[in-house]
Amino acid sequence: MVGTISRRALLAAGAGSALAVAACGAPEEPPPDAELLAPSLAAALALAAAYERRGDRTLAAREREHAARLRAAGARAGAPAPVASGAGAEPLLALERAAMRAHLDAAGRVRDLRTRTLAADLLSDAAQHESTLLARLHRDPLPTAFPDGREV
Amino acid sequence: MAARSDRRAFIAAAGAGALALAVPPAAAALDRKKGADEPGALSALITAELHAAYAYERAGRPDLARHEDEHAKALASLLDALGRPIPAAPSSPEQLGPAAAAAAGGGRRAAVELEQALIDGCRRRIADVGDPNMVRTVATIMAGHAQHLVVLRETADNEK
Repeated sequence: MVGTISRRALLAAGAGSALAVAACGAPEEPPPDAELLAPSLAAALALAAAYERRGDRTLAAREREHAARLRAAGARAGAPAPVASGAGAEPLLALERAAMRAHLDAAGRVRDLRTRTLAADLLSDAAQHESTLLARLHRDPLPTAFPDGREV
Repeated sequence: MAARSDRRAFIAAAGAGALALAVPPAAAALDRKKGADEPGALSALITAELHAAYAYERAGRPDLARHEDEHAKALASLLDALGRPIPAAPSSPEQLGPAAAAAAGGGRRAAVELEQALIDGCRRRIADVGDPNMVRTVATIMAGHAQHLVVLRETADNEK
């Protein structure tokens, strides 16, 4: 029954919201959008290479397209690339989650509204890849209502 | 009926909980100047999530209904922090918008269309919020709907 909510869940929800709101603190001037997009670009390129190595041309092409859109939005090159080693889908999952964290951070901080939408689009795309990989690993493809790249 | 009343009470209480636990200065720290229409955006998104939750509950998809409820709850906390009233949950199928009403019937294609509509709504409204925490909340909700969409599509493909 979806509508039955425990007091414990309610308090957890309230506390989570409170922490999220309190975490805002005093607003700081963020770096330029080009800098904020740099980790997203590095993650997209790392994913493109990883999918290419595994012979998944469709997702490799998708990630190269992400990189192209980020470059068109002015993303700076040269940010440290996320690294994940090992066989199978686990390293890809780790890379997708790193990309999700980068896209989410950018979405919240970039100034340009089109760039914000781009970051949200890329987060959604990476979240879909996360679900696909989780399904391949025989795990719940919908582990959370708020996919943000953190381990659930 | 009891479940729907509980949801309304829960969402209202979640917002109240946020206010009680997050002291007023934290709420005041929200950067409202950058957002074009934060209350309007949040209200529209909450309404869409509540309708989707109601639809999925009727369609026998408690997993998706629970996610939409969680989305509504998170957005309600943000709207409450702005001192605005929380939209009411639907209490009958007649109150649902077209996409949610179709999904309430249980069809997978209608659910896919509902999720696409929810994504489109988030994408449209994300430009109307300015506070980084609100932007990230809307972005993760949009990503959640994107995951629902891919899972619904893959399930539909497997059923062909």
